[in-house]
Amino acid sequence: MTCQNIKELFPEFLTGELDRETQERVQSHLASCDSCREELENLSAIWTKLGVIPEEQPSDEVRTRFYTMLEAYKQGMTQERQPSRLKKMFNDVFEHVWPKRPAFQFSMAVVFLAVGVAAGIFLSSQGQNGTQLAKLQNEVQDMQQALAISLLDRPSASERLQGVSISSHMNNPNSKTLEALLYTLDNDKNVNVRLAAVDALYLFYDYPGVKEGLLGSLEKQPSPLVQVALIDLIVNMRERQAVDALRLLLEDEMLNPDVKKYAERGLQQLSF
Amino acid sequence: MKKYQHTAIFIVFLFLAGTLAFAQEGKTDRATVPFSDSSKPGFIEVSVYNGSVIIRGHEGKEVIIEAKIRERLISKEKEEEENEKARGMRRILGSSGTGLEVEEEENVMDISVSSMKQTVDLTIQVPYNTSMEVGSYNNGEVLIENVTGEIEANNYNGKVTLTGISGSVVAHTYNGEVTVSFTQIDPDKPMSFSTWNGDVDVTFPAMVKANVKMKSEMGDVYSDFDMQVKQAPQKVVEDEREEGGGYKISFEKAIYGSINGGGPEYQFKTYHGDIFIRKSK
Repeated sequence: MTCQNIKELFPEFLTGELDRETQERVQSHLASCDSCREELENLSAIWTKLGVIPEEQPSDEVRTRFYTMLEAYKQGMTQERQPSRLKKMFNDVFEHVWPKRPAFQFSMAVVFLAVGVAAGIFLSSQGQNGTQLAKLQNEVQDMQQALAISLLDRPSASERLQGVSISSHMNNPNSKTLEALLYTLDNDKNVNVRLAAVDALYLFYDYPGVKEGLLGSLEKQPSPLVQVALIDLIVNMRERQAVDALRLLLEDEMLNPDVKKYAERGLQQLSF
Repeated sequence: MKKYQHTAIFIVFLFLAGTLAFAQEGKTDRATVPFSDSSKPGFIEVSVYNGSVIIRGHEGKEVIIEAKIRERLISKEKEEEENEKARGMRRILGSSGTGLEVEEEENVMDISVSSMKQTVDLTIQVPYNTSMEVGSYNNGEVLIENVTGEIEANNYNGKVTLTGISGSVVAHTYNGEVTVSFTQIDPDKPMSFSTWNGDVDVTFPAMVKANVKMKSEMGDVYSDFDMQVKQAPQKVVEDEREEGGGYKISFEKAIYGSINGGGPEYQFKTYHGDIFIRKSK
């Protein structure tokens, strides 16, 4: 038996589907032939790995692309009953290349399998990169939160604005970042920084503590610009407590007349 | 220990300068104070309660400060009329001058006028590369010219005017216009310009890249930049009400846009006034 013949038996050999006589023949060949043994080891290693590789879930994009392709293919099938010359040529070539003998077909399949496995390994390592990426993204986000908090504490208004800006772009700010933003809203000495904080906090008002912080801040704000921005936001929140916060603000006799009008209009909007 | 010596030296120096100046001119205090490390850009913090602050960049490496008590505009007769008890008497001025105080420590210079009663105008010359935080409250304008750095300018009753600025600006006043014109901008810094009563008028170099947010409650927004107007960042609202309860979220009237593809965030706000965002010619 030649090496070629033996190799053709590998798949069945590995799955244990050979009869005893053939199996023994393969084993005796393997004992004497280094190259076949090596190849079998490789093949079995690939098979083992195949079992280990986690299933890759196609992304939504791949999925939609696949279905559009499938749809297009179906349409092509119905539209083109007659194969085009090109297609015919392709079929001819394919028929010529594709081995008629099942054994050869099988080895061809093994080649394809190997390619597939290689792709699979490549993809799964990519997948690992994916989880690493997610981890990295988390770390970046943690660093961003730390950076934002430290920027909010700087003497420079421009840097504090930067801190607010970074926080407002976070997908999921932690409670420390939100606390720092609320502190900025109530205490920053620069009106412009406080204004930016209102806008940033608006994006996170359903996080715990933010709503209360915003409502409570209204009476603490000396600047009419910030007051108006907060009224806008509070009216948009449509919370029951918003009415109380606005009423409390309206009790202030020193209140800027424009802000007063603004708050009254807000109350009207809330009562609908 | 060394830095305290520095501070002490400058304070003493200032008092000397102050008394000398007072002896010569009556109502003006002058001081020339260098930064401790003139090879690096310095920072000045200026605060005045009543009066104007004018800051100009100059060739020199020192900060030259001039504080001047503003003459009262009301006539002597009227003043006496106002104060019956003081009839036949002269007002005796204290010898403290303007109340100017300057402290310098590690390239940070604190310049302040402690007087609440008098209106004191400050004129300060700084090296071109100087960052600053400037604040006045009443009776004056804040004017800053030809400086490079990070600038925070605040006023309350009075305008804020910044021209020939390279760097970044955060400016606010309550009553007055905010006018800023840049020769160059720091491409990484966010900026903000706001007032309650007055226009916000800012001129940027044509190549500026920014994401802008503009809001005037009673006025309009104008610009000659090719501005891409965008959708406001929306809050995703989870509606927890029962079916048919309805949820309305009216969106704020601010306009969001991007200039030259977008960049750091610039905020423009006024209540009574218009907003102008100009391209420098």
